[in-house]
Amino acid sequence: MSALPNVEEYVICPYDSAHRILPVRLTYHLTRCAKNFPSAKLVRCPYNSTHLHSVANMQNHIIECPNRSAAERFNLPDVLPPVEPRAREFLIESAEDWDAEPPVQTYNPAAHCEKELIIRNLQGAPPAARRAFRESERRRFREKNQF
Amino acid sequence: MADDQGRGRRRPLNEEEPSNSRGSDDGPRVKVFRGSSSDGLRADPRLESSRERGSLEEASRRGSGQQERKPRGDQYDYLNTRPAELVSKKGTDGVPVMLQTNFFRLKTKPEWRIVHYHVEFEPSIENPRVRMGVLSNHANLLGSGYLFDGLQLFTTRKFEQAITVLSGKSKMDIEYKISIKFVGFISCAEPRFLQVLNLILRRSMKGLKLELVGRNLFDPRAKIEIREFKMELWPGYETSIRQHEKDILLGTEITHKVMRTETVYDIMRRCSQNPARHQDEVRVNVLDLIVLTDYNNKTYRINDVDFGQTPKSTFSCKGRDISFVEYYLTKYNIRIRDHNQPLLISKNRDKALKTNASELVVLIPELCRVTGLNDDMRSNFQLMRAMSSYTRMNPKQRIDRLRTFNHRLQNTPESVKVLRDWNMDLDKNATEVQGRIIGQQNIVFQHGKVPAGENADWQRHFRDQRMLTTPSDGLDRWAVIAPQRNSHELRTLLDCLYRAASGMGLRIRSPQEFIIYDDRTATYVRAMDDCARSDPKLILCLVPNDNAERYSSIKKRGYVDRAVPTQVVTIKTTKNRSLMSIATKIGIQLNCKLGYTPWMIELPLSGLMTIGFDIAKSTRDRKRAYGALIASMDLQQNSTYFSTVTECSAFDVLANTLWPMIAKALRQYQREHKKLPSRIVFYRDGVSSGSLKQLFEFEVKDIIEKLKAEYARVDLSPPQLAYIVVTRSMNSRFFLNGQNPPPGTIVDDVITLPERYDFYLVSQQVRQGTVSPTSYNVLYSSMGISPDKMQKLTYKMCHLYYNWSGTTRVPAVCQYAKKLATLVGTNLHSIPQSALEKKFYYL
Repeated sequence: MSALPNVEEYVICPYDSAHRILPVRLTYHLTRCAKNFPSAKLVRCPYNSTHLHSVANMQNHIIECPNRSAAERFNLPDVLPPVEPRAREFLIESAEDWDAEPPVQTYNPAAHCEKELIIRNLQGAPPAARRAFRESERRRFREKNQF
Repeated sequence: MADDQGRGRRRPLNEEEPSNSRGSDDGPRVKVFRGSSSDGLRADPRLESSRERGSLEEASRRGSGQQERKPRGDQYDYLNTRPAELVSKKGTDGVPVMLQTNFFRLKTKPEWRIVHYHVEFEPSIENPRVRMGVLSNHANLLGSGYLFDGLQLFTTRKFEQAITVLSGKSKMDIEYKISIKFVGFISCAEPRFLQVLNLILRRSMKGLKLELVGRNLFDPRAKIEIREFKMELWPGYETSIRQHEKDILLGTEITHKVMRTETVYDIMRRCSQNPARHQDEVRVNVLDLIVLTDYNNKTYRINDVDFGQTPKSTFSCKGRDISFVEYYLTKYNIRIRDHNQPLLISKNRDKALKTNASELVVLIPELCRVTGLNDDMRSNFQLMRAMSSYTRMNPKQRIDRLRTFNHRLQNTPESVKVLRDWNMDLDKNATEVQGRIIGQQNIVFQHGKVPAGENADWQRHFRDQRMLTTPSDGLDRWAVIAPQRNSHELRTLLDCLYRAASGMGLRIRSPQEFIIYDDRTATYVRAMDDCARSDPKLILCLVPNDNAERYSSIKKRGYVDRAVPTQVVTIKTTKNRSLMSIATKIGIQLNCKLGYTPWMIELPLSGLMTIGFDIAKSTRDRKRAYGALIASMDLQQNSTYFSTVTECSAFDVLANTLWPMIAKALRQYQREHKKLPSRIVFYRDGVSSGSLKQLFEFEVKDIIEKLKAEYARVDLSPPQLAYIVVTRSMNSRFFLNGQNPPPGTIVDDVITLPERYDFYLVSQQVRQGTVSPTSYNVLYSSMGISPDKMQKLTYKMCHLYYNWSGTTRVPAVCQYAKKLATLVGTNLHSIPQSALEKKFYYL
């Protein structure tokens, strides 16, 4: 089992430097903290989505991002794959052709939930919003039951 | 969206009262752009929340469509017509069948409100059981139907005052004051209601004399003793009450708990009495065990043994020093027999993280019962076989057990009483659901298409069919490494290989043979270096046994240091009687490792790229994990797969470095097909259902943004993306007439969750026990295909795992990703060379 968390293992939140988070929880924290700072326009590093920087700093960061090596190694590989004889060309015909059919919209579960007496859970919202949601749900059920 | 605003008034679609809705005209409704609002007084927060939840769905859905409801033709007369896209998540294709599940419907819900109180004791009592005992003295005030778990009280009665104070005496004659504070009502519209229902059910199950161990209830009276191994198997039930598609359902699943009949004290006694070695032996046997303490029903993992302390030593508890013996006597009424035993230390990691302190828990060996299996037991074949005969039940047994459980629940007086008090009524029969069986898919070989077969197994076709693509020169430049004393087995193996492979269209020429004179790992590695100089396309190693270290070294040399695919065959395989069928499988593997395809399925969608992603932990370093991404090329024309691995931290549930891998896959696709894919389906494995919301916010949105940017750079509109989370579901099962449902069975109603676009698919065939369906949750889809086609596409994807001539439990890309991630995490421990990325070297 890993050592108990010491001060050195914490990561500082890019949104608010007062937040210190364990690296395990960093992704969860970022999703929550981002909602509290809508004005902080931080963009994500393309190599690692936990690296957040302002647009101006992003160029500098990309040059020194530790996760960049993997992508670079791909673009400029040490060893190119050996040239293989190309496989036999084929085109598989199938009985149906889904391309020809008109596009269909996707399913939105919210519609079904609102109509029926379904108990729902508002995940990931701050407590005040959850309370308000519960209130409104209660009212909705009561209306429904009263016809 | 603008359309909705214009229309404004929308009549409620109350299906119960079609006539009423005409009359209930509450004025202009809140302009909700999706769904219909049946409550015109709804405040804005609800609008926000629905928007927030569904905002990323580019397809704005206004659905009213579950075709199984009563026909709504009359109601649409008043609705201003909008394109009536009645979309539900149910498909229509396939043979409909009636399936039985392991869910029971809750027939009536306690209609009244449940009142929630918070209870405090003064002076405070630690043990919840004692609290419950004290409170039960006041049962006349609380009524017969109340639930108390030590802190919170749920009942149907509301007291007049906000805070009620009661006084009483406990068994030890100490005066207590109980203050009951009113917290709120719980109506049947909140998720807390479900929590209360679960508590009620648990209470009634206790009436069946089941014991709580961990999180589930087990039946110690029906225990199965396996005396030779000092174990008992306790059968039990894992129940959960959840809101499913239409009703609240109770899902039950049979589980077993392995209870070792010995305590840690017994294990320590068995270790050698020699004082010098005693401590070490004890440590070896006892460390990392998971133990259960009966008095508080909690499990701990043992991290250390403290020989310096005994139960007589003291520790400080709430300001005074108290010895362990005294502590257990006063708190739990347990007498410790041996006052000289060493103590066990457990580091409670979760609590430590929250309170930033090191929470060391000290345990007494005498009171710790060992649970779970250790590695010795797991490798003991007889033991596992004995256990599995009890735990692996075939469908009939499982259905019987479930029925017995339900019967007991409904007929034992104690449990019935609890249910009646709360007006809960469980259905007597298991819920049935209408499912569908998708037709058999066609497997495409080089010169023909064959149907997959009823059991989704096309093994026998290898005799007549040839593989779809093979290297045009055959396998010409390759090498074999074998010990000298196994040259005879090598000959037989090669002969069978030539015959089997040529029957399938793969020409194999004689390899370059490297004979080694002993079977040490270093010799193999040196031989590999030697033959790598002649640049073979593949190296086959004949090894005497499946020693993991040797296997790892061979693979490492082949994949990390050099870029040569390797095939490892054990001597035991060559001595097998049915060597021809094994040679067939090896031939297919060789073909794949060279980068060619044995078979393909028909895919009616063009420009599609399927991606699978999975994470596996590294066995060497617990803090690291490897994530593997497998991407297919356009399967109609090119049946090769691109693979890439990246290292990530073991704790990350959500992958940080996903985007670079996807970018690589896109670039590869472009290199091969000269354009970017127009459709992408992403199967994500390795996610727990609790983090779905985070996953959506973090990964999905990120991928969509980045894809848009990437495609915009070449002036293309963004691709149609479908993001599907794959879960190997454990708790839902279904049966067809008391048997396992056949491969291709789909369930997308009744037992699915209402807040998700999801479906269950049984894609594999099992010979023993009951099949577990896989759950697919479509988090995001702009694909424009109906649920029907989504399900069929997923089923087709399950046919493409080349190591198995049948369907797999999860789509092939996910299975490959899992295999690759495990290989890197267990054997390689570093990223393989990128020259291998188009070959199936990990198969």
